[in-house]
Amino acid sequence: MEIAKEMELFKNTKVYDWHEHVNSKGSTDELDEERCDRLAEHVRLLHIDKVAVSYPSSRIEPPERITAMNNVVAKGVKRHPGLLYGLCFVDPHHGGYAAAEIERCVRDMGFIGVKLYCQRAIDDPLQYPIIEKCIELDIPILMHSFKYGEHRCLKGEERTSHAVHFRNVAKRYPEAVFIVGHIVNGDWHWQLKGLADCPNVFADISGSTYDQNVVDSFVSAFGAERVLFASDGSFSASVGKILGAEISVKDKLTILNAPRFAKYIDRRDN
Amino acid sequence: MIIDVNTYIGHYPFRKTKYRTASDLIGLMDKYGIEKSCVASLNAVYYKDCMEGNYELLGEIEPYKDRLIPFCVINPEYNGAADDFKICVKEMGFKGLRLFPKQQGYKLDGKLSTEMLRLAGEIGIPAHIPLQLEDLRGHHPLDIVEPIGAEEIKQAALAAPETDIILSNEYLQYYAQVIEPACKGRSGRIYYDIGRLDCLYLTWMDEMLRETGYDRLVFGTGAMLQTIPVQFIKLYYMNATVGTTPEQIEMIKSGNLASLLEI
Repeated sequence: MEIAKEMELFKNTKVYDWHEHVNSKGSTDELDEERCDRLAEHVRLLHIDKVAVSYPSSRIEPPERITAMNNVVAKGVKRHPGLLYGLCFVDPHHGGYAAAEIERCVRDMGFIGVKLYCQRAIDDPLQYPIIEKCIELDIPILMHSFKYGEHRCLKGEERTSHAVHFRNVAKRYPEAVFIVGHIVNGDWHWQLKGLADCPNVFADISGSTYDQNVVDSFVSAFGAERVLFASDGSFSASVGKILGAEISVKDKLTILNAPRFAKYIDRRDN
Repeated sequence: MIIDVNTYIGHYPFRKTKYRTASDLIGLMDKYGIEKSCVASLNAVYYKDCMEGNYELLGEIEPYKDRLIPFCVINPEYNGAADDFKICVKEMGFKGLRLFPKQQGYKLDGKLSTEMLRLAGEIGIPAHIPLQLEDLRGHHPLDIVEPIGAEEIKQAALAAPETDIILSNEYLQYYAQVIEPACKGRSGRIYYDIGRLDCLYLTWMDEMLRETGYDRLVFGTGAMLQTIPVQFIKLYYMNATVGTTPEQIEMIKSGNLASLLEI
């Protein structure tokens, strides 16, 4: 397999990666610049043009810590303008703070969306103010998602969202836009079910799982326009999944170009 | 040349797969430019008597025996296991032993599996242990929950010091950090496939190379359950991200395995 030739697919089109992270140095409020620069260097090697980054936590963090984490993201975005774009992490336990923090990140720091994690499932009523704020601001929500096997759920992540939760909330809020984070990880067969008729739910293919024909399965169920390229740090697996997908080149380009999502970044650029 | 250490034909019980036959495997190998593959029967993993699967495999790969290198699946704790293994190697031409302790319900460092590993070492056949067949975080209720742990492999390796061992399909840098310091005195070598390592953004390949160097890394895809091009991405970008030379890439692609299997 001639990877140089195969990567022309990425090189000759605009590629959006919808799920990446930046971090702080240890428990400080300082951006881990080395790691951020490594991310930037390696996405450029892979001809990835635009990357949505966040700094989430699986714990319940105090609001001031969440503010600091989002500020770390802003530093990463500032360090690599035109490449990195911020997603604001919030925790629905913090009520009004969450909506206010989203407002701050979008209006003051130019963030393009929201990242949620496993503190509550996406269809929990505590999430409603967050979702309504995102509808108001016309920004997408990337939610960490997993359908674990019976004995594999990580401690503290018992409220991780999966397809059932997304279906519930997508029907309640048809104007909202939801991304199922790394939908191909865990029991992806479960994740395939019940979402085909939810046009406001999108699948990001990031993560370290690369089962044969997994991307094909989501394209078949959702259509390529609802499948988004993303890596979440697993670049070989994620790029390899695209190159190995047995779908048309047109569908691969649609996944990479994200035509229904590009506006969130393009409007920031403009 | 590329030799893939970790491939399967047969039926996988936990999800429908597009590719199952030896002909399918050859088709994928041709598509991606893989010259030879070490292949075992997926059926044998789940049969009570693995030998039924081993016989099926041999029949199916017969037209492709210049390209498909058969590895036999043996459950060391099953009746007649040692005799079956000898038959596989001496009469049926199998070139490797593939073990599935978790799926088949035994400990790799147990008495009978230790005897099997030692027998493999005596005969000069490598023991291949795929730590998982696919990512287990979404496991079926009847499937195993986790891969074998590094400590169990370390103990098994120490108990069969002359046996060459190949490990596949996990974050093997963590395993190497446990196994390598303890196993330096072994005459048998331990090989690790690049299946779940990454050289892009993540530092896993660096961490692995610190433990093993290049002469014990091998190319393994997990086909036909896993997407093959993932491994080619690593081979291509390792030079840019880790400083791997073309000669070292060739070692991973085939040199190390060809030397082990005397191809």
